[in-house]
Amino acid sequence: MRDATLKSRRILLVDDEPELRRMVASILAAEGFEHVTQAADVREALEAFRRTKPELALLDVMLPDGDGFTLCQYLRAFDADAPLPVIFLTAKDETDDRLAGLRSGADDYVTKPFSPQELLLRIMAVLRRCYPAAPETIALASCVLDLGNADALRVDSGEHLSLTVKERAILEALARNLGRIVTADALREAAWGDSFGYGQSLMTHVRRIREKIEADPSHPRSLITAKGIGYKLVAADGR
Amino acid sequence: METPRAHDAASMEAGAKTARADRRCNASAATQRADRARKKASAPFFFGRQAALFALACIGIIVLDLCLCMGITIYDNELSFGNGSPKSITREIADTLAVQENGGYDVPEATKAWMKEEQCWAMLLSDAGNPIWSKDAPEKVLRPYSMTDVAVFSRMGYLDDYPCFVWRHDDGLLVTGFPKESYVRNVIDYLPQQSMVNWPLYILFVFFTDAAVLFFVYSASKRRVMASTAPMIEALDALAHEKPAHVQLKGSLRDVGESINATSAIMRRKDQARKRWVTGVSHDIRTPLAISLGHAERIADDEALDESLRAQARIIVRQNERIRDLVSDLNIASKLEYDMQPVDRGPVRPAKLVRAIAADYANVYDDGRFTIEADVDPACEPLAIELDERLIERSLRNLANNAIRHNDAGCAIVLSAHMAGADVALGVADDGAGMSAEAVARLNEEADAIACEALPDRGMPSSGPTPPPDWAAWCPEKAAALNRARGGSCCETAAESPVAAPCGEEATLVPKDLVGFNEHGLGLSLVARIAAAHGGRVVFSGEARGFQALILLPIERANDESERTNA
Repeated sequence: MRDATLKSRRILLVDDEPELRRMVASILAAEGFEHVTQAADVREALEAFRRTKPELALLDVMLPDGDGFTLCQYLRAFDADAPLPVIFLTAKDETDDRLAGLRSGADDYVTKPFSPQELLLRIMAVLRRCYPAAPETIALASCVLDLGNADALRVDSGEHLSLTVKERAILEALARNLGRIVTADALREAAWGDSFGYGQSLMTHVRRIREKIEADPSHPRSLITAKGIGYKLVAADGR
Repeated sequence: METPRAHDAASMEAGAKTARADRRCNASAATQRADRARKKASAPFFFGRQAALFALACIGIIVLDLCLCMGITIYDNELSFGNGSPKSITREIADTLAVQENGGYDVPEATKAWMKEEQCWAMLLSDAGNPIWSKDAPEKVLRPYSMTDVAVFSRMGYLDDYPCFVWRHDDGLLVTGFPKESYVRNVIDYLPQQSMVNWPLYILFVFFTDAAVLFFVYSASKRRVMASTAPMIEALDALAHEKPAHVQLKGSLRDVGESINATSAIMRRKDQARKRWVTGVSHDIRTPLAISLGHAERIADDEALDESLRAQARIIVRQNERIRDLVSDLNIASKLEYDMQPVDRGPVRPAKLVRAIAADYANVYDDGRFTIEADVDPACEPLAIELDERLIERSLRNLANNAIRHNDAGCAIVLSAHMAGADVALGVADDGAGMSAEAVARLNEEADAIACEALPDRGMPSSGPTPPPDWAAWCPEKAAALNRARGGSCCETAAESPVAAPCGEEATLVPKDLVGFNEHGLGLSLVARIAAAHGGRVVFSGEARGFQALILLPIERANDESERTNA
């Protein structure tokens, strides 16, 4: 439900290579993004921006009539209260280029060649960050997580178990990457704001979370350990 | 499946010790040479050493002079009094001049012949000054001589412009004469006795004054050369490492300095051209590669399509990803090779980096074929060192890609971060196919050579870069198989040299260079270069089952480098 909302956002795609534009647009369309406007240069991008009021821009850096960094600054300055999220799609992968892109206010910097899956994940991550919505519920093997209310509803007993602030933060970080391993560092950052230390605390919190969301915490089915790396949250449908 | 543990602490410690020992062994020949030249040019050392050398040289000169003087004296004595000298002839005549039976004087025939040969004339003056005998004497000298005349020509050495010599004879004074201008009389005046006593002191004074002036001139000249030697050594070493060099030399070495600067400028221009070319090509290839990868991945993921079509698309995706990695590696290799400051250091937590990469691979390869784990030493957790995070990440990804590429059937891969003495050891280990001990040894040899070449404080081995071994000698089975495949029966010698194609066929894709790093593409070579650029090195291990690569990065050096860069 939430993803559908995010996919209804208007996207402006600017690249001077028509085949790449077509390819990205078709990937986005196949993934459910309904409003994608294409532009081949700065002039067309500005026209499209005024016409469609996009909610996310995918910009190339080297354009025939200007550079993406300047265009990015211009687009973001248009509405100071709600700056436009921007992701650069570029063949320039030097550190200086990345820094220039991020300094110009971009939310992410994707270098070509990129995998469509990677691009979609990054687009969704930026949209989630820039257009936060009330957290949805996630159906796990033994409970339903309602992160908005910090609540875990046990399927077997129908009992509501409340989550602490740290537990919720950890589960939110895992839920954002549902089905994917999240490193222990990222979880510590989410819960304590620092990736260093808190190793034992993280393990304690994971154990407590498992007691709340797993039918058998000794044999977890939803919160899986990736040895030495981190943890993965798996939904009931296997996602 | 047995999970490969990254080296246990002991083996890693041993690896690190070996690495450190190697680093010590390879300690900077160029820097040592430059330091030695600087030390030699430093004032106390220089003047002390040069004074000692000069004193030795002076003693040598004195000894030489004495020998020369003795030689000259002997020669001069021989010339003046030896056989054939005017004095010896005069003495000979005096000795042989005798009264004959007829009452006259005469000399033996032999003496006459000798006199003729020497163009010598002679006369015997009586005590009264009258000539009483002569032989071949000019007419005008045959006259009576007063005591004054005798005293004058004896003193001056000339008689009517004839060089003349005198010798006492029992019956008078024997006078011999030689052709005009055949001898020169050196008249020495009388000297005060005190002057003769002081002469040795005067000679010593002159000698030491000359020696002091010579020492000053010699030292100034030599010191200038010595002072120019250290920058020249450094500049030449930089050129040998294909790095830019600039020297400002004066005097006689100015031309040498200008040649070094010109060579460096030419190399720099070539390097920049190469770098621009690589960057341009890699930039231009990225967009078409993105389009190709995007379409192939969409086809591969489209469940509505035929499975064989999707399988082909997956192959295209894999190959595109290899090209993508290759482009990235080429860019980094170019950066390491040609950039002035290729390493962009910043604080990096190796433990976090290793976990992030492991998570990425675990998420991508989640189909069960590959088991990805991270093995982080607790001692490594708080460690943050100054590294180029992108380069180190690239290294670990290259090693992980290598493990995946060489193990199609799947394997367990462990990314590790351990403390190993003064180093941090980042590793990738798998329990897959592995490789032969010879191949591992070869990789380590090449990694050592790269570590030696890449660092400014290590000298290139005197033998130069390690050349790849002969392919046929390295892989005899493969060489024989290649030969058979090419119909080698008609040209048996081709088995010995795969370069020479059988039956006169022009060799094209002969894998003669695919040995060591080259056998594994650019990836492993780049890992070794990145480690070397951080002052570290790579150690490969594993036989038969499993392969492990450890990147050893010196912690102290990494932080020192960063401080230096910031300063």
